[in-house]
Amino acid sequence: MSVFDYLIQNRADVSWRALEHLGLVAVSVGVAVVIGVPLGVMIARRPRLRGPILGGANVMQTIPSLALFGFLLAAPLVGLGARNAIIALVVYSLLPIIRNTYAGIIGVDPAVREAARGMGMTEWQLLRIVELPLAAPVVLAGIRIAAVIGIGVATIAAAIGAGGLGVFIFRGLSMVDNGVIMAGAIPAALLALIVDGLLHLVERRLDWRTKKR
Amino acid sequence: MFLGESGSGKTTALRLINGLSRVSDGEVRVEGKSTSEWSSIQLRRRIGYVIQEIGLFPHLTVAGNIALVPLLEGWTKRRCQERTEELLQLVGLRPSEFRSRHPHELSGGQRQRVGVARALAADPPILLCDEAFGAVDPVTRAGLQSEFHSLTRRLRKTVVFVTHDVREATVLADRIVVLEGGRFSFIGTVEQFRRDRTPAVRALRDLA
Repeated sequence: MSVFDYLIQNRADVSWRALEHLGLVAVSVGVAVVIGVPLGVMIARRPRLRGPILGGANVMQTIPSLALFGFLLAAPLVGLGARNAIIALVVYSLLPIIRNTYAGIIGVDPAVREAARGMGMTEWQLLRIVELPLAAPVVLAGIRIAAVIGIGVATIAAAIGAGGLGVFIFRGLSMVDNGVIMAGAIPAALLALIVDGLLHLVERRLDWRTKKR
Repeated sequence: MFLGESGSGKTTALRLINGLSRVSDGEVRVEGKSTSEWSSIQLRRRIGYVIQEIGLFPHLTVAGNIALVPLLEGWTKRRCQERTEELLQLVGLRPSEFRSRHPHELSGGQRQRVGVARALAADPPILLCDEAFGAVDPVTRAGLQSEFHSLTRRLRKTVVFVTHDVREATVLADRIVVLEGGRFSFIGTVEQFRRDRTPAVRALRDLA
């Protein structure tokens, strides 16, 4: 069966799996932002923590995803399913988000920071009014990378019963049917492109350099 | 007016006043109170700070930059707006034209005018300027200097100004302090500076 016939016949199922896929990635990236942005700010403030935290995130990034899903199967309270997949995806999303938050904040012009401190801003005001808005485009670029990686990695989540578009890929593998594999792979690739494009638009809107008056 | 070569400690001396550098020994008194007794946030809100690189917030408009300290001080929106208009006029920028521009749409001289307006925003009694006009071209600089001079005079501000430019010092200053290797080597009025015979001061005068 050709991939298009399969997609048309199973469009309800494919759409549902695509949404499920997107949901897994959205939740994971959301959690990773909540954890990663504060960590990025922290290592920008305390250089001594930079090595351990970036190193840790880096090491986690190098764990092969299938192995990570496997490790998590054995972990208490995790097991099969969406929870396992989300934890793994959070782990993969952390590095780009932490690193870009750090880079964004470090990249703020020292003169701007000096002026902000000199006018009597508290550290919190400096962060909220000056550093985070200026770092926002870079932070968002990190989130974009995390989302695109996440959409790729999430295809493997089907192996541990978390659903998503990977379901078709694994089904196709066991049927030795490339058409079915493609029915999972093509929507996943499209999803990645669309999310990438949309986040890129948001990124441009947040960037003061490209902002129209 | 702190006058000295780069590395002579003039910027550090200035930063001791608003607590951006910490005193390791001795004390700095602002309005009769040691800087270590001031809350550093309170202290800095009472002191306008203008630096050579200006450090305007690139993501905010001119009005947003100027109104920031008043906003932090809890002024109403309306009062902030009025104050912004007033200050733009004071530094010679037409409010209708400049209020909603971003810093990257301004020339160097205009940016420094906004920097001065921002420092004056909450009407601080004291103004610290670190090479404030060092980055603008000589023609613009001369204009800014004389305007700044009459402005701060009229507003009765205490101004501490750091420069390595002897001419700027003699134009703007009431009193000049010469710094050498972190020490004051001369303190006196502009007149005294012109007549002083110590080698360091003579060397400086020869530069002008």
